[in-house]
Amino acid sequence: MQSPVAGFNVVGRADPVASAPSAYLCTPVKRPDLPAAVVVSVLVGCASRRQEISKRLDCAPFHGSKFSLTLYELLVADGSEDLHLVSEPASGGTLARPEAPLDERSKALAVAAAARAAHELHEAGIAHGSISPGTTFLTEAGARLGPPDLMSRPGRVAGAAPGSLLSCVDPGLLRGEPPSRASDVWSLGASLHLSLSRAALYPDLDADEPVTALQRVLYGRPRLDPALPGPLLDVIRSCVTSDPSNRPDSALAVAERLESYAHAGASPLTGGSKGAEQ
Amino acid sequence: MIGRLEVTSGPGMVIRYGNVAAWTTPDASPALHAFLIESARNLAGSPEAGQVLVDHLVSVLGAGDPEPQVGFAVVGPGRAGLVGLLHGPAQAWDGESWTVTPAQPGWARLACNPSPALFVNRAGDVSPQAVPSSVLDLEAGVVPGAGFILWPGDASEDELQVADLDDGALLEDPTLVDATLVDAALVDAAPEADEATQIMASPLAGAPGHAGRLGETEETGDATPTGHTWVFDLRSGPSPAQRGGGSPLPAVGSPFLVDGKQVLVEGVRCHRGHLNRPGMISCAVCSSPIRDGEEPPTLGPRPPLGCLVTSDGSVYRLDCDYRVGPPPQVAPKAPGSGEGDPPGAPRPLDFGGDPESQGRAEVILEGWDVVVLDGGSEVGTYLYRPGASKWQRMANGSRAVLEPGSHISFGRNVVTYINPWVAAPSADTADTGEGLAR
Repeated sequence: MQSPVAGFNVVGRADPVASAPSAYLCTPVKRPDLPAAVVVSVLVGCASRRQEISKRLDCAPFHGSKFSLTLYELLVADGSEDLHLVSEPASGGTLARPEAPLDERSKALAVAAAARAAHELHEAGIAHGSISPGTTFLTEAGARLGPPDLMSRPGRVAGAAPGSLLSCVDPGLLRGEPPSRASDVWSLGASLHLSLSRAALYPDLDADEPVTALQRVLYGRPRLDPALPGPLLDVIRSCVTSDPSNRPDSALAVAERLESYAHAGASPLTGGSKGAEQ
Repeated sequence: MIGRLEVTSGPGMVIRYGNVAAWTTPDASPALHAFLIESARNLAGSPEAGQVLVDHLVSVLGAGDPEPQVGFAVVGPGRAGLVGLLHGPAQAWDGESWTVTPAQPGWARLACNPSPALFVNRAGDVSPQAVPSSVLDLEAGVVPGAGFILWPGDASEDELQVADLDDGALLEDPTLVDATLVDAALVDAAPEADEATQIMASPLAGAPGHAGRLGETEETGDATPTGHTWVFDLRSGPSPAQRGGGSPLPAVGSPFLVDGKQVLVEGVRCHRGHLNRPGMISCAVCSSPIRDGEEPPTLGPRPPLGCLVTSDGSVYRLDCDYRVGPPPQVAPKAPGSGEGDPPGAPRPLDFGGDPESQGRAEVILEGWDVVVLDGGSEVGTYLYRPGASKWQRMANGSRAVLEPGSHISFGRNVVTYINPWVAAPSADTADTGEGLAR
């Protein structure tokens, strides 16, 4: 059977990056310059946009950052309309679907790594715009933030369809504002809440029609789970506050607070915090 | 037999005596180093040195693995070609296939006839670029190194040809070499090949770890031996123009910058300075109350006016005008050059499928209003306003100011207009349309 990705032998399925609908764990064929195992995400129908997409990735944080997923190549297969993004494998899955159960400390550190990656992007003049547990990958070397949504057309903010993790999208983006430091900080806080709690920031969002779900986020307030440990609840609350100017100064500040919590060996029994935005 | 042994710089240790080569990760114990060095020295002249060493190691490991976390490899001649053993986090590429160490038993035998070379290094690391003229050629001894590239010693001059490539003619002029062909050429060519040396001299071949940035080179349209017509290398660092990076984003809480032209509108500010549509009783950004008449209207940059939600759930921000349907007739652009619309033109609202089936329309921003303009087509533009009981077709070429919650149909594609710059309904009533009317 012909491999679905030219130049690679497919070993199995993998978590896709950059909003690609599918990805494969592969071994490269005749490519000693690539590792033995890579993930190839299929950016469907994007071959004609290869220059635009490669230009978006042509900045320092996508080249060898310790906190961003390692990207090797963008490829167009002979005769294909798809673009293939070759990246390092995430053997631990994603924060949304980890291969093994994660404790609270590991989740906090994973979001901290994503926050550091986001800060690197911000300092290079780039807002990520789609940080979520699904874009936080768990590699053997630690958590890594995946690339932003590369398939998205200009002006597209998010997906509001069920399963699209709309709760991780800053309501400001739904008002039409462009992605920013503040919107990424919101997404970091929401990602942490989503990974730690069974209670949704916006109840029943997944059951809603897209327009209803979007209005629920736009006009509602996030409901924080009071059962979460106080220090983490404080971080989340500060990130998802409605006024962007009241959020942490930077994604780096979020990372440092989470790392401080994780390295202090805080127990999940340190108690909840009152006064969450209800 | 081992011909050349190119040492890869980095942490670890590389050993070579005669026809035995070995490598270890930096965490190997002195005892392991001593064992490998002694074994290599003792077996250096043996015609089956590799087989003897591998068999001995397997028997030792079978009795218990003293350093399971350490990566190491040994390679030497066997009865029919090169044989070896990989242990721990180690990988080998022989030009045709990878060998990696399985978790159990923690080591793997290696039997190969490298074509043209055998790459050995730590599992997960990118294999180094082969440099046939490299001075890092270990003839004998023990040196630091993160791995090695072993070129068999019995390669004949015939094997140095690169005519096996799909388009060998390209290689006659190094300046025409497609960069991914360079990789393939180096894999398929033996070290002393004049052709290979020429290829390395190509200006496209200098990037570490890979041959070049094809995304920035002229595209020939020819497929490479790996079946790719275009490759953008993300390992060689950003392009020189991007190396310094862009300017940092504005600080958290700074006013956001709107893409495209900035339009000034009259509005009222909340006590935190956010500009709102006149008549708002609470700020759409921070929810703080706005008391009617307390602050005089002021001019300020217009914020985006909400978003359009398509039937598949995609959300598009209304920070500029949008076009529905086929683009205006313009000169064709080069393939792969990105978006087809000139700067300042309405952004296409992409539904996928045939643009002709979507009719022709524009959604434009005027002051605080969002207006839909019918472009006149057989498909037509339909509106379903909040509180209405049926769709209404717009007259050809007509315009309509959209009310928040309005649905617009462009052919079979329906979008909904969401605008926060009105009095907000509660989340519980948001889907009923209550409170949406201005």
